[in-house]
Amino acid sequence: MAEPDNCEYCGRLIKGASEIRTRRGKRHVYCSEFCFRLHFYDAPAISYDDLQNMYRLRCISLKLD
Amino acid sequence: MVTKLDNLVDGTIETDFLIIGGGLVGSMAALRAVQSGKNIDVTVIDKARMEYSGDGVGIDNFLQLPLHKEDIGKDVSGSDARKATFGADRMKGLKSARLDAIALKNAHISLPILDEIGTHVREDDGSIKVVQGYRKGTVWGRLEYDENGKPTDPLFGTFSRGSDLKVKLGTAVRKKGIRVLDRTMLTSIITKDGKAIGATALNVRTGEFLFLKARVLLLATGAMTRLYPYPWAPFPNRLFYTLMSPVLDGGGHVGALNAGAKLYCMEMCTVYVVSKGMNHSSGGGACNWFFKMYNSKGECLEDKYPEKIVTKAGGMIPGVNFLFAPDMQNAGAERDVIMSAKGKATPDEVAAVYFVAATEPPKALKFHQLAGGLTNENPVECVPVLAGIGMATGGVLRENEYSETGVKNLFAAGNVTGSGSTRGFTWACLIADHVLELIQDQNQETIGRDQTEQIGETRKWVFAPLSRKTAYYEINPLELEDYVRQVNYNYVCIHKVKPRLERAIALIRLVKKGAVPLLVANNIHELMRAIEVQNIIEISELHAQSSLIREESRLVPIHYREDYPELDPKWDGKIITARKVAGQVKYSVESLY
Repeated sequence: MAEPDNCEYCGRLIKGASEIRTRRGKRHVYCSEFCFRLHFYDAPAISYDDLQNMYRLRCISLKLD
Repeated sequence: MVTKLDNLVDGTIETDFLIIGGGLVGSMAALRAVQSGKNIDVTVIDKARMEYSGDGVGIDNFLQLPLHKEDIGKDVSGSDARKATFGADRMKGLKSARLDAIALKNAHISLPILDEIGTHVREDDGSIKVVQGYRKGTVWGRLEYDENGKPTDPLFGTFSRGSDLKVKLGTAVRKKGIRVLDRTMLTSIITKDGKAIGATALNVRTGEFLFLKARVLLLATGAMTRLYPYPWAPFPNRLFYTLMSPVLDGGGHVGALNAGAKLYCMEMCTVYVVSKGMNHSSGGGACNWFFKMYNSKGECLEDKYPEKIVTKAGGMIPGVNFLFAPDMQNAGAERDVIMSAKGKATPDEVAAVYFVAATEPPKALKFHQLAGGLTNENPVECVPVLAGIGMATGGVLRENEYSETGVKNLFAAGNVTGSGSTRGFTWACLIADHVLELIQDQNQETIGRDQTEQIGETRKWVFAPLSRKTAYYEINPLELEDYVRQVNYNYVCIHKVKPRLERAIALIRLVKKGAVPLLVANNIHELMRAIEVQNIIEISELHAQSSLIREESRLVPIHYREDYPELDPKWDGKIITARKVAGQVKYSVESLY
């Protein structure tokens, strides 16, 4: 069976190595351990729009190179 | 007659650079040292397992950036440096502004390594999203906007990205072929003529006792968080429900103290406010930037006490500590039951809190889940937790600009130095760079009679509780730990007062004399606990004794004396140091300026 392209938790496209976990015999694929942990502890998913909104309100972008 | 070294230890390892503690700082220092391409042998010892150890799992405060964007990379000194180090004004000389200024200039030195190992610190476009805080005088914290919708006097701190960081760093260290000794705890630092030349360590699974001979040592053992019990969990769980890693028994502090280094500000215990049902996070220092706090009547504490304590809760240094500050002039504030309510938060605040919460140690998230879960919508009461020494200030004193302790060739970085985790990465890189230069003209020391005696003494001390036969009574290490932490809770705690502190010291000394010789360990795991409890007892005495000496209140409630409730300017810039001379701890008041 082909691996899903998207993270099971955040829904974003998996670009690098995926984080594969097995819980109670079921295989789960995440984009990072970060997403696995949030999923494991039943944190409500943050949508990409939520994230962008949070960044817009609370953060600035720094380019350090 | 002196016993031969081979008879005292199960193995000897020679290395150039010994890193004690494989947390974020230890891993970063190891990577930086080997990535230089120079021929250097690096060894990391870790009491837990490299990939999952340490009191930080995410980047959180480890990469903090200064004041204003244009200040990054600038040389700063004097009062500018104190301003630039967040909260340093409040610290009033409890931290070295000189060292912070060095770290500040090199704030982003670790980024290339973070990029190389593929952490999620940067966004897809290569930028770093940086959360903004603001500053008003000495108070800084949650972002606010002026009437034009612009942030008020913004400060910067990096957003808590990179929660997969520890796993990636640990894995990278292994992939580089660096020698990693898991499940290996420090038992002593071996010195020769005031110079650190190695360490002894115990494998807490197999019981192997090792001597690690090194040219240079880095102490990166983290904070000391097992000083107080976690009051809302039953024994023995309360000993391990700490907000940081549960392995932090202060072994690094005690090792450094016994080797001749100074410990400082041991009276300063970080206090967090935690809500039982998550909402307001604990370890994720930045969470409190996003949620407003209310009392049980629904009044916003920020509005009710605009100038004082509650709220304006400022992220990293010092912790969340304004929130539950006892205040003799404003008793109402203390009587208020502090609540946090997710229901009143805006969606972006909620998203921010989840985001930050995921960078906490897994144990903290698990605790939140047990206590009501991340989805709890109802207001929940906030409770203070005494988290331990080292997150805000207090720990091993660094005595020069290379972050070296008073013991030559023994460097320290991260929470063990009490600099907070802030700039831990920076110091890891700076120390590794310095070590590379240092070992060029540094030979391995020979082991003399004195060093063999030190190792022999340590061995005797370490294994003493194993299968000990006592005439009347056996003491279990965890039960003793619980007792000592209860003594701290009952007699030291937030509201410190002279008679209680004196009683605490008397009880701790009684424990040392009466109970420690009766400690019994039935296996190697219990032996580890027996060593840990002795470290905890040692730190407890330093904590109570230093609290007694500092006759003022500072950074309330980090240090609050009921009998001296005010901040006393004569203590500005003064630190209390502890140093072992001929087996006795000597305290003195010194200046960091």
